[in-house]
Amino acid sequence: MLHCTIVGTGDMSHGLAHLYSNNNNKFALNTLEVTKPGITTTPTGKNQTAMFHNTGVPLVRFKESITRADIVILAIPAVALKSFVSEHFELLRDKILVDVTNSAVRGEDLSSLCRLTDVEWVKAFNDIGAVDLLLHKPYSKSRVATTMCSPNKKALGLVQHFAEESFGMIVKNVPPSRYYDVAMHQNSFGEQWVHAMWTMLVIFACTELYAILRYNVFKGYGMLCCSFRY
Amino acid sequence: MSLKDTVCYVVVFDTDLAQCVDNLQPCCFNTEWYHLALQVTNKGICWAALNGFALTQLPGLLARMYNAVYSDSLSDKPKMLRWALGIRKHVGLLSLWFLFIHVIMRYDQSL
Repeated sequence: MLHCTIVGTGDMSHGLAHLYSNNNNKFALNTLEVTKPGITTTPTGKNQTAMFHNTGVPLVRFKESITRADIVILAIPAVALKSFVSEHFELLRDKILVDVTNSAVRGEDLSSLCRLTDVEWVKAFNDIGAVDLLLHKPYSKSRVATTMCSPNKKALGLVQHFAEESFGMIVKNVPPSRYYDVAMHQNSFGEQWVHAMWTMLVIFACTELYAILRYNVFKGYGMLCCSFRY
Repeated sequence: MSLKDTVCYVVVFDTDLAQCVDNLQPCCFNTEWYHLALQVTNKGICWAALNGFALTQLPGLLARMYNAVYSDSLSDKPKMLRWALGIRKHVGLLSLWFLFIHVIMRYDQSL
């Protein structure tokens, strides 16, 4: 039984809430809430709370939600991560923090921010897009596949358990030594594509140079038959 | 057609796929520099696509030849050959992209 809170009300948060509403295994007794700093819930009636985008996931006040959470998914922009964590560090320090950001800037991730602290963090859900999550059908036979990475095995196990039981995902664990590959998953084309692009660029540069020499310099007679020029 | 034009036509026919398909005459002999952006670059793109497709085929052929002489194992092959085998699909797809651009530019020229 795990309590999870998503901080942020953007597309990623909406996508995860959508997955939760479609795939949550009720026998696992996991709960999910959505919150963000400064939020004030607006009860629509007696004993009712506001729901997040008709997903059935409650929108809860920030401090209340964070206090009872075991896992906190930080679905906020990467540039805001540093200020957010430092501002609410006392609330977050005994929680498992989940970093879903994709930033190519060094230092804009939880790995850098929590390096000198004892905060447990997991890099997860950064390799899946919000659109894919929102388009995932409740009756679909396929599961959303993702990778997770963390230096803390216990934290990784709990987040993996929550993702499998409540989001219906297939999770693959990546060793911490490969953290950089996971973090840069959506910021790079991949080694093979980069090499292929350079190869084709060199080929094109050679052929373009040959075409210029042949048609513009030697006026169409080519390098080998330039002796036929007039 | 003079002897000079005939010889040049044969050279062009053998090497330039675009020209031999589209118009069977040596029309680019008086290419000026203002033709560079479209006509000359289009030929470079065409040849890049052809060479890219050739490079896509080559590593597989070399691997087969290597298999005939040495062991049939990927780990025994030279690092360079393994690298070339690994990027075959990507080079092929990029060559297809170059070919697509060539077709578009060729169509644009014919308008």
